[in-house]
Amino acid sequence: MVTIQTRLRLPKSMLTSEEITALKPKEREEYVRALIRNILTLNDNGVMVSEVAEATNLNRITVAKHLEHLVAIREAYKKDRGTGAVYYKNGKLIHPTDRVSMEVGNKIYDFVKLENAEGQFAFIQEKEQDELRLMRIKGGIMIRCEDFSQFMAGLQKFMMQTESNLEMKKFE
Amino acid sequence: MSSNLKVIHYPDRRCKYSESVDLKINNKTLITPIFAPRLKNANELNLYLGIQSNSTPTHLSAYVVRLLDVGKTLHYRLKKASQKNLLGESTDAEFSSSLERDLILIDPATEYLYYYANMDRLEHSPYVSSEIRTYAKQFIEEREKIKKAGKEAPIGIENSREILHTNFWTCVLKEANKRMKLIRDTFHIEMRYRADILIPPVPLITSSHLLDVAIFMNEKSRAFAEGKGECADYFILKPKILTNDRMMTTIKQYIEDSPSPLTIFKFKNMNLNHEDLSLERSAFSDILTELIFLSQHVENKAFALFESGNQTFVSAISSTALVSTSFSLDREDRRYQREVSRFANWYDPTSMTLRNKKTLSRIAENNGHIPCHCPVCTSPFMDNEFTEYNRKVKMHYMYCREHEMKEIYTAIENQDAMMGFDKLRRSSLKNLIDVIPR
Repeated sequence: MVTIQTRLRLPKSMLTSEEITALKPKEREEYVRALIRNILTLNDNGVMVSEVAEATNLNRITVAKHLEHLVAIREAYKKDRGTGAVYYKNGKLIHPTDRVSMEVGNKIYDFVKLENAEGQFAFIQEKEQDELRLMRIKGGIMIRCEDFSQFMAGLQKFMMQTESNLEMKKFE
Repeated sequence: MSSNLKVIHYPDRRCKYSESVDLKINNKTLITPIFAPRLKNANELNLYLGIQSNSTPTHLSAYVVRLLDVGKTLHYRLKKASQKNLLGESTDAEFSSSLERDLILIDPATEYLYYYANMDRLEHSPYVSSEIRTYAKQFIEEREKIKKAGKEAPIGIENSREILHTNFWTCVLKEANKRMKLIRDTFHIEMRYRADILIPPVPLITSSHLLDVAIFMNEKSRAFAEGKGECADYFILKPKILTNDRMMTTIKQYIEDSPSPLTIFKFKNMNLNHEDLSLERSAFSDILTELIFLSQHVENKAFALFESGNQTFVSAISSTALVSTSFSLDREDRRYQREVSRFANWYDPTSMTLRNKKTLSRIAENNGHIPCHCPVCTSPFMDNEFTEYNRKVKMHYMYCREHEMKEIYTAIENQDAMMGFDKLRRSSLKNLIDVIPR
């Protein structure tokens, strides 16, 4: 049998399958997500589902689910390569100062200026703190820097439109 | 992997073997060396917070609470701080601002699985893992059985303790369920009580087998803490281990390779000023030299020493970022020894040792005042009843330790490499001069 040497860089300490099974379901989810995020960070050249599954002994479906979640919250992006897809950590911070955090109500919004193969982006991430003060990423969007003013104009127009609709309803 | 704890070095804050760095974690910035008192109850926390609000000390910006003491130290203050008044402000502003500013460390203190001192508390504490509670129950039962059997018992109390302790940790090593439960329960309480850095449950290292278990637990805890917070490496050792070259080399090798930015050491009942411990002194000096090298040359590495006792000053001057000692001043923890006096010992900043009340009275009488410039000692307090006296003595202790840390910081800034030697030469801890790396 031919064994494929994995090219992935892995964290120094990982839990075994037995240990992962010993965790509570919620903790298991959190651990696997953190592990996959960590593997993405360690591998600038991208990772594939099969590689991660093989290196971590995790189920392929589990790995794919978590990678897709990271894509959905814009922590990662993917590029199709033939039959599979390669997942990349979403961009590098352009400058350490290009990061602002803002607390609005019980939510925290992180504004980060990122750069990846497709250009420069403004990355807005929504976070929430749980009862143990852990930050949970709830979602995020990425706007290309060159499209930012157009996006803001659109957003402003939308808000004005919804407000005028509300006024109209009141008048009726 | 990006770390939550950042160690920032400054070229002008280094003098030979001493260095002062900035530790940044969770929006808190601390200037080392830091003295972190180990707080045992709400009164001690009040004293700490009182000093914080009176004088904003820069080097007294952290505290350590044992997992066992969390209930009577942090629980009520945290509950109060989480409540808000009609204006949306916290009802405990003093503690809330401390939470934003001070580093909180919760020590699992798993060495008490070896010592009998806190076994009854472990058995009933809701703050420790159920695995530990079960062990404590078994330990107490076994001890009672041996005591009852008297001379007819097949093994003595000491041997039975050794066997039970080793067996417990061997089970933890072998059984994934038990291991993960122990780590999970410990971290859960640490996070709930706002610890900034997670400290893993590890055994008291008495043999090479337990050293392997400690290393394994550190690695597994770090893996589990992924995405939850910063996890330190933790080693609890008996002083005799210092002279075991093979084990110390293993520890040094592990620290060098470990990605964890903070390594905490705890040497149980260690007093290196004792005449007979010259070998241990030299070994401790060696390990300090090694740690200095790592902290100055490896990116993002800092070290802490818990229960530092007489080694507090000498460790802080040798680049140890955080030193911590208990607050009981050698009095209240002596459960099984006859209490000599209800009055706590006064820390003499010149001799750097503890003095009993009688000696302090004599010193004050000879000098005409208490020879200390801290805000507590400016007015005499020897005639106070014991609770007030102990309160003052504890505050004095914190002021003095903070002053020592400040002295070290100033000496580093002024490139005064001899300050540590001079101070120890004038003190009763002359033997510790050998410990300072040269």
